[in-house]
Amino acid sequence: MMKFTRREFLKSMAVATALVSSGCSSDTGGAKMQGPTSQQDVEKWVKGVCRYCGTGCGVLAGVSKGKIVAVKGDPDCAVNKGKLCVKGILLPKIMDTKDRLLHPLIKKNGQFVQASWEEALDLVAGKFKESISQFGPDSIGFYGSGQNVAEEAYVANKLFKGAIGTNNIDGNPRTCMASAVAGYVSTFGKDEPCGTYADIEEADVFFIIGSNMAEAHPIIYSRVIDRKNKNPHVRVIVVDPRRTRTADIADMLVQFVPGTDLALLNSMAYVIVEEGLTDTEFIGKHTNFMKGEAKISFGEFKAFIADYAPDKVSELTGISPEQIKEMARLFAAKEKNTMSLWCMGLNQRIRGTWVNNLIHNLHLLTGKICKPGNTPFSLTGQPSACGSIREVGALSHLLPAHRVVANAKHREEIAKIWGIEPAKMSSKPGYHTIELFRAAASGALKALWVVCTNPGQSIPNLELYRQGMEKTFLVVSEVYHPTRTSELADVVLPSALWMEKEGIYGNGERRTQHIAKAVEPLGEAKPDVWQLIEVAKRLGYGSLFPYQDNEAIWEEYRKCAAGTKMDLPPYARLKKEHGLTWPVPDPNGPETYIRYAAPYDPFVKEGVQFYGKPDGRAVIFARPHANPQEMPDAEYPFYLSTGRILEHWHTATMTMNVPEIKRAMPEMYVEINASDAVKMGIKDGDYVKVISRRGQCRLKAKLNGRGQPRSGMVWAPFHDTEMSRMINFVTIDAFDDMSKQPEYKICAVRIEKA
Amino acid sequence: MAIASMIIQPHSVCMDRVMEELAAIEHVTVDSTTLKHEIIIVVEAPTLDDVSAVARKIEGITGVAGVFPVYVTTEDEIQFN
Repeated sequence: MMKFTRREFLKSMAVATALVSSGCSSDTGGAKMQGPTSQQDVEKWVKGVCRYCGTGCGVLAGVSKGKIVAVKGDPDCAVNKGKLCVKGILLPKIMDTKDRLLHPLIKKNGQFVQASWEEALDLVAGKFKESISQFGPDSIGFYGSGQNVAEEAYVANKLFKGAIGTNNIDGNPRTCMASAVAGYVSTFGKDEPCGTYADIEEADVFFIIGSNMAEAHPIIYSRVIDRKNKNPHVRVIVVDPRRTRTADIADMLVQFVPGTDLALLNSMAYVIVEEGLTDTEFIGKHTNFMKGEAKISFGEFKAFIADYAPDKVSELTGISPEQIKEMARLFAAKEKNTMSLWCMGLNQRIRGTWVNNLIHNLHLLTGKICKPGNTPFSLTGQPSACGSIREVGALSHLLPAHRVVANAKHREEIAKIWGIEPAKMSSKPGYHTIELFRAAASGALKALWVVCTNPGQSIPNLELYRQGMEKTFLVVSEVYHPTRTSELADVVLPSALWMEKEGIYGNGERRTQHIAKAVEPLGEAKPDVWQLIEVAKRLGYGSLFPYQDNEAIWEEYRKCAAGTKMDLPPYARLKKEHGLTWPVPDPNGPETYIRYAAPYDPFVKEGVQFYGKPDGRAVIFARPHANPQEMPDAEYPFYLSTGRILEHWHTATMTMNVPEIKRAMPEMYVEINASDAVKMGIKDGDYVKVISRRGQCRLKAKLNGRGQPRSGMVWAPFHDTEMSRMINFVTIDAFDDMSKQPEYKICAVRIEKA
Repeated sequence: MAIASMIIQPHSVCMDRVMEELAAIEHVTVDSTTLKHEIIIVVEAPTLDDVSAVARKIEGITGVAGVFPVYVTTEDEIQFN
């Protein structure tokens, strides 16, 4: 009998997993096959979703002796088909870390001391009661997260908006994709994408703008690479002021001047119209033209974009007229399918909503929408920013299932499901993110509960807002301590981590997925939803939260979604399936691939119907170019932009706990264009100060690295946890007046040798 | 000993050269190629740090568009944490 060692067994298992992930069966795909596929070393594999970005990769967590000891990609999940990025595969390392918070903490005389749950929860409820009775319900607030499971966000929303009667509940998705929301809603009348990731396998042209997918969404990027490698005719256009890894596969790289995206996209629209690349039948049947609130004619729109002829915007954008024309022609090519992908590069701008509108314009003008491979698709940054915040309505102006607080009928519908009087609910939108922290700084906000996020590191113009957080009574529900937020808290509550609790995540393609509980929480950690309900009971609202389990919460929330064309599948089905893209109006029926179009959308009988708009027509907007809030000048001559890198995620509370990742990328840096660096006498690895009107930080200079900004621009990741390297002391807190999303992507700085 | 499998996505025109460069990296065995133009490798290295270092080295190869670790384990998985 042939000897088969344990090492060989493990290697075979590794190869088999890779083959499955690559779409090969064990007997058909690879050029060489070997080994068994059983997973005998793990007691059980539990189905979940990755804890990191908005891609929504399915994972299987391997449990042994009550611990998660391995993770692999879920081959049955349509999102990643078994693949994971370097962060996902190392997820077990975020569980049992040195800084895991195991007990409630209360700050006494400036020092954190261990407390019982009873003492901590009584203190939180007591302070909330005191503020409400002295200053009214709007004196308290809640700041949640696109990392919460949907049930947590739903309960928080119901507690604050329904029971307490304040709309001061916002969350970090405000800072990453509120402009995408406002863009979808203003153009189509409803939030979230028309298409799904499945469009990637149908697209011939990819228009990637304001997104470094290769690092921020590596698995989605891998699908684009697959598509291109298998289909040589596929073309990729990457539009970004900074050359990134995403550009490695680009057929065309367009490095425009930061902040000129509105002009660039209008110029593409000009070329499309001028060269007859429009789909006139689609435009006539399915669109309206508008300027602000006023309807305009196609002729008036044409006159508007005449100001953006390529030769007129070339100097402003830094892109030649020929390149603009080539890009527009590629985008609009007849018989080709075009998919746009973007992320925070467009959203984190004071005109983020407008830029989103202009992407939609290009698809509507060319009719490249609502057909396989043709879609404007906004990528999301967090695992459930869509599922837990946009859909649950956990922002200060929203109610569940894309309703708004300002609409009396919407309030009545939700009040009925919540079992409260509609009059209890406020019609006035609460504080959005920047207003919320401004209110803390001004003293108007007396108590704030932060759950599952880290604003003490992630809010722009940080110094002012950290002071505000310190001033107010701050409750932080967190997995780790200290973080840059929990260190400012009065009470820190230990939260159960990923797969120590069950719940629902909704990713960027409308896919709703269940995460099963795989292990018990460490120490005294408890799920956030338990914490919220315990406080609700102490505030006298226990009867509104009678849930026995997460399924009961979900089924109540499903009632909010029923009949809104955002119909969600039942919990029991989600536990079994590997995610479903809504709407799913029949509990046992199919998911929806493409919205607004027959035969895909169950609510459209024939053709295309943008049913979010009363007349069924989407809007092509005339939106002019506008400069960023802060432009470079003699004193601050560089544009600063910020973003993410492959190794780390968000404020790195998790990824800096993974030794392999930390050692690979222990500190953040500032990328400087090599020619600019030569002029300043800065070499790769030198320490420099990045200084704005608001603050400064000290970072190593990186030249000719994986990201290369154009001349006149510098770029820094926002992950660093060290105070001297936290770039949000430098960024600006100006925000889009429609979406209220801050302009992290552009401010003016100067660079000095440190 | 840490063992990992990874899917390497090369630009299709660079397949042969990338395979050669992968084969020359210490701790790496090129297992197979797939119909999707992906290369499957196995990394056997003393520690997870070394596996991570290999992944980073591969990322630096010209023509590599993506590196996806799919499975990682150690001889004694109980020590994983």
